[in-house]
Amino acid sequence: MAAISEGQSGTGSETAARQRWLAVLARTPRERLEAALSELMPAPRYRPLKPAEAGLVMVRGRAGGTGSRFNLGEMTVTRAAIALEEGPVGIGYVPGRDRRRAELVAVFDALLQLSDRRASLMAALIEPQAAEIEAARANRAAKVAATRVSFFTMVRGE
Amino acid sequence: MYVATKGGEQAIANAHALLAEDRRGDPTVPEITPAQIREQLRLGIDRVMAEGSLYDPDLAALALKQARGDQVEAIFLLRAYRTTLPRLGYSEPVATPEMRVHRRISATFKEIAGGQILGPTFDYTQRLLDPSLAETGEIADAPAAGQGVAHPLPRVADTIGREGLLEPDAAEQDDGPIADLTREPLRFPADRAMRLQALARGDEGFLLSMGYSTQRGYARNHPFAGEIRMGEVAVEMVAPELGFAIDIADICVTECDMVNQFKGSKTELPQFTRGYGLVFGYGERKAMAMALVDRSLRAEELGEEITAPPQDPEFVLYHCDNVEASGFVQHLKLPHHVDFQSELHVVRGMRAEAEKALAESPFKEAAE
Amino acid sequence: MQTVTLSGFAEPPRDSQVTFRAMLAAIAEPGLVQRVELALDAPAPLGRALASACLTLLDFETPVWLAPGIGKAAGDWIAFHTGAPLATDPAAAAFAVLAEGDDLLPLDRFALGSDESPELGASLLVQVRGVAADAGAVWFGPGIETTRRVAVDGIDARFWPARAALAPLFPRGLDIFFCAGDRVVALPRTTKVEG
Repeated sequence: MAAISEGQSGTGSETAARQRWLAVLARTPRERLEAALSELMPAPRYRPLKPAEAGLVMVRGRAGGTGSRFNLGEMTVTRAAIALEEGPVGIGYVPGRDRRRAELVAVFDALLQLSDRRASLMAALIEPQAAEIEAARANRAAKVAATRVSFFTMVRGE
Repeated sequence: MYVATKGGEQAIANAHALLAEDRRGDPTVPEITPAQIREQLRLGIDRVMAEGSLYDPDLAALALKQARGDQVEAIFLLRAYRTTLPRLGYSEPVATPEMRVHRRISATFKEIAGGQILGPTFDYTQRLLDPSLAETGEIADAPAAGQGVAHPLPRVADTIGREGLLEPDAAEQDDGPIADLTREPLRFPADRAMRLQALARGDEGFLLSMGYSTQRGYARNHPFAGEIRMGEVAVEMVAPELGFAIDIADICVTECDMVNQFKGSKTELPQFTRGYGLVFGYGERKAMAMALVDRSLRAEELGEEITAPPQDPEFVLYHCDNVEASGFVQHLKLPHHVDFQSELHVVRGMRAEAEKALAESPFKEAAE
Repeated sequence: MQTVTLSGFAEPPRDSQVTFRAMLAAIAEPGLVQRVELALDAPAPLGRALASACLTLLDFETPVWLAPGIGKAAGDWIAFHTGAPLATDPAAAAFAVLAEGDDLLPLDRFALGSDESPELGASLLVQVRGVAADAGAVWFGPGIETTRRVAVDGIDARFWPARAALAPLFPRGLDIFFCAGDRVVALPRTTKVEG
């Protein structure tokens, strides 16, 4: 599982770094991506390699949780690929059918591959978004934890 | 036999207009939005996604609105919609042991690692109608514990399994293709992958009744809810453009690991066997029923005597899909005018013969 | 795959339908030349018709075998845009893509299907120098009212007897699309060729 939080992504390789930002971007609302893009000066120039397309991904499970695979059901997924003028190719996979969001994810995936852009984008977009995702998860986990049963033994008789 | 007929276009158009008007209901009441359905009738959404076999809460909300709340109709709408989209690929199997748990209970052990976590359950409500919900208003924040639920949460199956008391999950031989009902028809014998897919999208009511019958003695089944968990899992898939797996979404699923009766033979020590349920969304009743029926369908594999419908894969799998079942039952509404004319003719002829025989009968008077 | 910088279809749903329609017409009437005239920025040696055919027919469920002449740039482009897994063994491929000058022979290295599932026979997408009607060999069979003359320019002469030798295996066999520029002509397994 690709980790959202920093430092959990293991090897620290280029692939692991990319897996992490793609996982964060897939969970970033479109408005936030648009806002982050509009702040970039000069605006990045790119062209679509694969126009954003909505489709289906068959989600699989495993019998018993860890056994043989089976097909659970499909989900809607939209994907896009773009090429920046500077060269890097970015891809975007997002749940649902928002084509613009998939394209924006692809744009940021490409921008994050540029060494002169990466640090500022990580600080301005990826890290704050990752922190928000983690905070929401922690908040939920704390509320769920409050429903944990604390057993105590009833003393019978006197 | 069906005969092409013409006419009725105006009637159909008007029926659609009347349907739209009835869907809207009293115009002095504010119109409901798909977002309201998605947020406030979430369990209805979850069932539509599970049995529509398509995870998309917005589409499920739209389908429920369009279907005026008729779940089977909404499921049909999702099944029809999915045929318009291309398949982009298969996900990696979701890792339910790594689920971000919103609820997790076990009926087999009181003390389990990580604890009994009730989550947002109806179980301990009194099932008394709450008049306060007839009004709108603010609700209090749910209390939070100082520390969140452990992640990942240890599985109950791993605890029992360590002693060899529980049959292990069947390991996979290879990573080749597996049965996919969206690409191929049901075939028998149906392997576990095909059965689980059919059950995961099967009708909750049908599976509930089938599962219930196994408990009442229509299949030798002595189940315990080993673990039920509901929460979020990450969906990962290998992007062909990249050649490595990426994490593309979190989805909510409910999982049930049902632990069943001893099994043993001359060569194997007795141990517990298992049935498995996994469904999209928060669908605990469905996941439990699925696990019961998955286990009863393993009768042949486990060398059990087959005596009841829940053990018969053809009976269960051919009838568990509510889109198919609804289509075949409702096709009886189609004009069968010619069929019926021929039946009328036959029945009239039979009656005439019977009346003639009766009139000529020497016992006629006695009979009167 | 980071070398891929050329785009695929501008409008995938529309463009793939247009191409599919042309391919369907081609295989329904073997020997009739169809045109696929979509603007497409495909790498050499893929001509417009062959590149469009790849984008239309290949996907993540159709293993494809690429002949050596296709090269890395075109191979990466096909893999990136279609998601089709690359088969190292031609027998495991649903489709094979060959460039001009690639050896078509031996034909029986490709999947021929089985008597129960003849549809599992491979489809070959072959780039050639030219295809022309009303010249060359005589084609006849299903989809051809009487006969048609078709010239396929730039393939090894030994291909024709090798293909004829597969005929007794019917319904097993290979279906072939010859592409030249924006022109495509189909040679399904049912078509017979003389001269």
